[in-house]
Amino acid sequence: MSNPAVWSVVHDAGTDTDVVLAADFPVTGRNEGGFVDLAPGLNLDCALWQTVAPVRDPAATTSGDDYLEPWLAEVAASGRTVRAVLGYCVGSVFAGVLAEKIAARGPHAPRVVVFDPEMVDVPTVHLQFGRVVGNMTSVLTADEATGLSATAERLAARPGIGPAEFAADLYAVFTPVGTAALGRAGLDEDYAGELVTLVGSFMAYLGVAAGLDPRPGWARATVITSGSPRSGLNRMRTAPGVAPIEVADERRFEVEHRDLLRTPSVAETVAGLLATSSRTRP
Amino acid sequence: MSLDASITPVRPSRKETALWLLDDLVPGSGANNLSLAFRIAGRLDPAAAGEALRLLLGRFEALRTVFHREDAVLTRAVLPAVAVDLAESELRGDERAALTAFVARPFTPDGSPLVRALLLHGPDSDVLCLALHHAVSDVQSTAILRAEFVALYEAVVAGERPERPEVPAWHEPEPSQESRQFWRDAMAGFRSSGSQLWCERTEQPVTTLAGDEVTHVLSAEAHAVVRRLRRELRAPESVVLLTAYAVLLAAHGAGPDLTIGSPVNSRPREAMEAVGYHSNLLTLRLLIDRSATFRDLTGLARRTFLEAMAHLDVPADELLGVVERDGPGWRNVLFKHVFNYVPFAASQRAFTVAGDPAELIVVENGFSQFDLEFFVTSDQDSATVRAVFYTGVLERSDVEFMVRRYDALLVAAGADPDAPIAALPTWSARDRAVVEAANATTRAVDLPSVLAGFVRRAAAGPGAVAVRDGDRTVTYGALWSAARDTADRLAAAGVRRGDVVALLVPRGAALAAAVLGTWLAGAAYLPLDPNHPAERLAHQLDDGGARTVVVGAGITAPPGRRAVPATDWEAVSPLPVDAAAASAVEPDQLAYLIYTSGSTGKPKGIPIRHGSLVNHIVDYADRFGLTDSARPTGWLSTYSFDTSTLELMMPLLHGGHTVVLPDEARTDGRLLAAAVRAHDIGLLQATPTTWRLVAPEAAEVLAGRTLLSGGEPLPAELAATLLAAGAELWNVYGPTESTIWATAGRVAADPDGRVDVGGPVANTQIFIADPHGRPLPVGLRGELCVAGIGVAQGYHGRPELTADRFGADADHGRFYRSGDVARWRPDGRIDLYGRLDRQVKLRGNRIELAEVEAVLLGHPDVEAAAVVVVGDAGADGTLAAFVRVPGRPEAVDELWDHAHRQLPRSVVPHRFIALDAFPRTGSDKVDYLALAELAAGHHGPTVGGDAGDADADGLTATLVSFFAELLGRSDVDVGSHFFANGGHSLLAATLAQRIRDTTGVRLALTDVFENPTPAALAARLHRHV
Repeated sequence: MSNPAVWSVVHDAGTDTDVVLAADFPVTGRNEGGFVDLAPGLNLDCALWQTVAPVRDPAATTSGDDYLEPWLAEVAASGRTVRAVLGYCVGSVFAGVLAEKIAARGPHAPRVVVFDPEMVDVPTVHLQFGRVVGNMTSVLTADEATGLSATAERLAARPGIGPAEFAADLYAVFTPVGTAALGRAGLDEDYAGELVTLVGSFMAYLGVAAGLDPRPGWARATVITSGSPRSGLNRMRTAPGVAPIEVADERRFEVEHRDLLRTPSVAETVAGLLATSSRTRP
Repeated sequence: MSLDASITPVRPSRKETALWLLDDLVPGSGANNLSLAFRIAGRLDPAAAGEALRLLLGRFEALRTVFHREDAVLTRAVLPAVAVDLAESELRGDERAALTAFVARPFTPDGSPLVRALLLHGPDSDVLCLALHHAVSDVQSTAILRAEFVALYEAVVAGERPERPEVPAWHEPEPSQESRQFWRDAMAGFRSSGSQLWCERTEQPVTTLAGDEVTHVLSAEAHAVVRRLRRELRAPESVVLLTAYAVLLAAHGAGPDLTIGSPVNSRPREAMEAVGYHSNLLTLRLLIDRSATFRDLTGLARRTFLEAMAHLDVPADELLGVVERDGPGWRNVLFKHVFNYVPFAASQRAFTVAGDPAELIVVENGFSQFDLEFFVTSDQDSATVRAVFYTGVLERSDVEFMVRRYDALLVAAGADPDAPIAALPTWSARDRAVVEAANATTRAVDLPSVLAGFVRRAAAGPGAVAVRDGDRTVTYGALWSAARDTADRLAAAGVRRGDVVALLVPRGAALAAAVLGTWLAGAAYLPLDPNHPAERLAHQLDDGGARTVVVGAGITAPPGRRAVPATDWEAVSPLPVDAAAASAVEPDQLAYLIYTSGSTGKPKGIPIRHGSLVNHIVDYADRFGLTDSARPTGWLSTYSFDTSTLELMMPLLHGGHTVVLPDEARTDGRLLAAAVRAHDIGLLQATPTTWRLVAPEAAEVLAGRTLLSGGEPLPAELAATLLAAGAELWNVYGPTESTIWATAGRVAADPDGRVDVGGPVANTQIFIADPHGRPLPVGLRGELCVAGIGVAQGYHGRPELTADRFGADADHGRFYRSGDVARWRPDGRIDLYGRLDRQVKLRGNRIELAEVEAVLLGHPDVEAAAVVVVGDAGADGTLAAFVRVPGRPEAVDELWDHAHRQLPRSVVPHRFIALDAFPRTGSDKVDYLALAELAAGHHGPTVGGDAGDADADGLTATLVSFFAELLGRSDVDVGSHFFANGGHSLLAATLAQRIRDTTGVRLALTDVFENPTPAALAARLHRHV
C-alpha cells in the first residue's frame, strides 16, 4: 500500500510488519528530543509511525472522536497489528485513548508506553502559547509580543475558562498579529499562512487533548518519567486538583524532560518493553 | 448588557479605537478616565442632584454613547436613554483616595454607560464627582458639563421643570489631506527610541500605568523670568515654559530629535460647546541643537507649535504608521513626555451652586499614560507645575528633582537667554547639596608614604608580629631587616632611584620584604603573577622597563633579566631600624607600576604614586576599623591585583599584622573558615565570585568580621547572605587607574535591588558625566569619573590611550573616565550599572546585561550568571546566558520562564547554557569576551544526520548554501540538522519559500520538519520531481 497520509513513517521495516504508533506534535525545532531521536535505539523489527496532527482551527469545535478517526482509519486500513502505542508529553493523552480504541476494535490490546505524560489544563495551554510567542521573538515587535502576553494573561484569568476555549481564543488573538509579523519578516502569504495555521493546529491539538480522558489507557501503561519536576507525573503529582494518576509501571530516568527521547538508556529500556510485547503476542 | 436591536451601531473612529486598545493592553486600568468634581460648602440635595444628572444625560447625546466589543469588533452606538445612579457614600478616611478610587475604576466596552456619579458626604461639605471615559468626554467637556449640571440642579431645586433641547453628539470631520501630508512630512525619519531619559528604569514586564504626581510651585524668581521672557522673546508664556521643558528633557538624555506631546482642543469655532472626545495630542518635534540659545529654541518651539496647531485635525493615533518603531515598548511611540499648559486663574475654580460656595477639585485617575506629563498652571501671581508620571518608568525622587531643575533652568535661561543651551546649568540647589556633600572628602594625611608608616611602627615595636605566613611569624624587626637586605642587594645589582623592579614572588613574607626593600632602594615595584604565561610576563617586563626581577624561591627567573633572589628573611641577621630610611621615597615618586588587562589589547601599565597609595591606605585603615582592632587582616588576593596591597599594608601602618592565606582559600570555603578561626582574622577582602563560592562553608565563622567585596557588582542576594552570617559588609569600587578603591559603602541590613558602592574615599571626588562630559545631577546615569589624589598620571608609555581615558578640567583637576555606568542616589551614595560597553542596544532596545544577570541570579539554583550578545547587536544578535547551576542542572530549563516573568520580552535571553565554571580574566573577573566566543561556537546538541556525503549533487549543494545562509553558519554539511543548529519555524518557512522560488516545488512545512538535513530534503525533492 502507499505511504500513510496522517501518519509519518519514522522507521520502515517492510510492508507487512507490525507497527508501533507514536503520538507527538514535533514542531519546529523545539529543543526536546522526538521519536525520530528515539527510533534508532529501539532496534525495531517493525514499523514506527508518528502522528501527523491534522490542520484544524481550534475554534471549529471538534470532538475527540472526529479528531482521532483519521488516525485510526488509516491504521485499520493498513491491516497491520499495532504492537504498541507510545506518547510524549501531551501526546500521551492521545496515546492512551488511541490504545483503548484500538484494543476495543481489534483482537489485541497494544502495549502503552508514555513519556512524561501530561494532561492539558489552562496553565499548560498558557505555557505552550508563551513558547510559541517566545519562538517568534525575532519577528514580533516588542509591543506585539507584550500585547499578546498581556491578552493571554487576561484571557487565562477569566473565571470558568476551559483549556479548549482558551486555546481557541489565543489563536484568534494570535492570527492577525502573527500574520502581519511574518509578512514583515519576508514570508509571503502562502507560507505565513501555513505557519499561522500550524500554530492553530497546535492549539487545536492541545484543546482536543484537554477534552479526552486518557486514564483508562494510562492505567495499563508503562510510564517513563524524567527528572524534571515540572514535567509529566512529577508535575501532576504536585499540581493541586489533579486526582492521583494510576499507571501500571513507572521507570524513572534522571535526565531532563527534553532529553528523555534521546537518552540511550531510555531507548534501551523501551526496546526491552517492545521486544517483550512482540514475544508475548499470540 | 446588550445593545437594543433598534440602535444602529457604527464603527468608531481611529482615535476612539485607540483609547479602547489602551484599556485592553493594560487591563483593569482607568488610564482613560476623566473626572468632573466639585466641593460644595454645605449639602447637595441628593434627589435634586440625581434628577439633574438624569436631565444632563438626556440632554447630551455624547453622554449616552456606548461602545461594544464582540468578536474583536468594536462598535459605537447612542442609547435613547441611560440610567446612571447617583451613588451616595459617607466619607471615611482620605477624601482624595476615595475619589481617585472612584474615578480609577475601569469602564468596559460592553454597551454599559461610560459615566458614573458619586455624591460623597464629608463632615461639613459634599463632593459631587463624575467619572467619565475619555471616549465620551474631554477636559473642555467637563467645563461645559459643570455649568450645565449646576444650571439643571438649580432649576430642579427651584421646583422648575427645565426643558432643555437635546444636544446631538458632534462628530469630527475627516482630517484634511493637506494636514495628513503635513504630519507625514513633519514626522519623516523620526525614530521612537530617542526619547529615553537617563533616569528611566528598565520598563517592567507588565505595564500597569500606575501613576503618581509631584507638585512644585515655581519660585518667584522663575515665575518672574517666565513673565519677562515672554515679552523679551516675543513668545506666549506657554511656549517659554514648553521650551524650558524641552531643554530639561534634553538635559536628561532625550533627543536631540525630541518630541513632546501637547494636548489641544480640536473643536472648530462652530462646535466650541460640543461635549465629547474632541481633543487631540499634537506631536511637537524639536531638533535640539546644543549650540543654539534659549532664544533660538523658543523661536523654534513657537513656530513648531503654531504649525502644529494649524494642522490639529489629525489625531496622533493616525501618525503611528508614519513613525519607525525601534523602541522597546508599544507605549508612546510618538512621544513619551507631555506638556500641558493650563492658563488658569485661581478665581475660576470658585463658583456657586444654588447660592452655596463651591470649588472645583482635581481628581486624578491614579494612572499615567505617559512617562511624564507636566501640567503647568499659571496666573498673574504664581505658576505651579504638577508633574504626573508613570511609576513603572520614573521614580518619585527623579521627578522631585526634575521639577526643581526646571525651576533652576528657567532662572538660568532668564539670566542669559543668549547663552548656548549646552551652557545652561541644569542642576538644582538640592542636586548640588547632595553631590557636594558626598565629595567633601578633604582630609589631611600627614604620612608621606606607606614605607614611612611601616618604618615608624617597626622602630616603635620591632618585636610585634607583622606577617603570619603558615606556622611562622615575621616580626616588624625581621621584616625591616629583610627589606633592608633586599634594598642593599638591589642597589648592588645596579638598581637606582626611580627604577622599576619586577617582583616575581608568591604572596608571603618574602614578598612583603621585597616590596618594602624595593622602596628602600628608591625604586617602584611591578608585581608579577608567577602563574601567568611567560609571554604575558615578558610583555610587562619589556613595557615597564624592568631590568631587574626579584625572584621567589623555586621560581625560574625570566630570561634576559637581572635576577635578584628574594631575601630569605629567616636567614637575615637582625638590623636596627633606621627611622631616617623612610625618606627614601617622596609622595610624588612612583610606588608601583601595575598591569591590567582590558577587554581588548595588551595589558597596560598604570603608575601609582606614593602619595596616592598612602592616602588611600590610611583612609581604608580608619574606615574599616583597623586602627582600633587587634585582629589581623587576611592576605588573600593575588598580588598582581592592586587590591592585594591594602591587605598587606593597612595593618603595617597600625602595628597589626596580615595573615597569608593560600590561593585555594578563594574557592574552598572550609579552608578559608579554618584559617579565619585559627587566626581570628578580622578583615577579609574578595570578589563577589569568591564570596559566593566560599559563603556556604565559611558563613559560620564570619560573624563580627569585616568583609570587603569589590571588583564586580555585588548581588543583593549575596550581600544578604553575608550580612545574615553576621558580618560587617562593605561594597567597594574603584578602577586601578585611580588607586585601588575609589569609593566604599557599608551595606545596610536587608539589601534589596541594587547594592550601592557608597561614596568617595578621602581626598577623592566623583562625578558622573553625560556623553558630552558634563557632570550629571542626581539620578541620571552616565559615566563615572574619578578625580582627586588617587588618579594616576596616565598609562605608562601610552599617550593616546592616556588622552582617551584621562582628562582634566577646572572643577575637578585631573580625572579618570572609568567606563562604568553610575548615578548619584538622592542620599549621596553611588549606584553602579555595569560597564558602558555592557550596555548594549539590541534591535533598538537598550539592554543592561548586568540587570539581566541580576534577575537570573534571583533564581534559587543559579550560582553565577553571565549574559553576552552573540552576533551583530544591530541585526540578528541574540542574548546568550551562561549560568552555573551545580546543585540542580535541570533548573536551566526553568530559566526562560523565570526570566520571562521578571523581564521585558526584549531582554529575555534566547539561550541558556550551563557551565561548570566561567572563564576568568587575570584579575579574577568573568571573561565576557571568552564567553561571547564560546556562545558563538555553541550550537546546541549535535544531531548529525548521514553526514559526509561528499558527492553532493547540485541540488544538495544549493540546499547546503541555503542552510548556511539562514543559520548563519559556515560549517554546514549535507548531514547538518536544521533545527539542532539554530533553525526554528520561521526559518523553516523561509527555507521552504526559498526552495519554492528556486526549484518551483512547494514543500509543506512538515516536509522540512521531517527532512531536516540538506541530504534528506534533497531526497524529498527528488521524490517530488
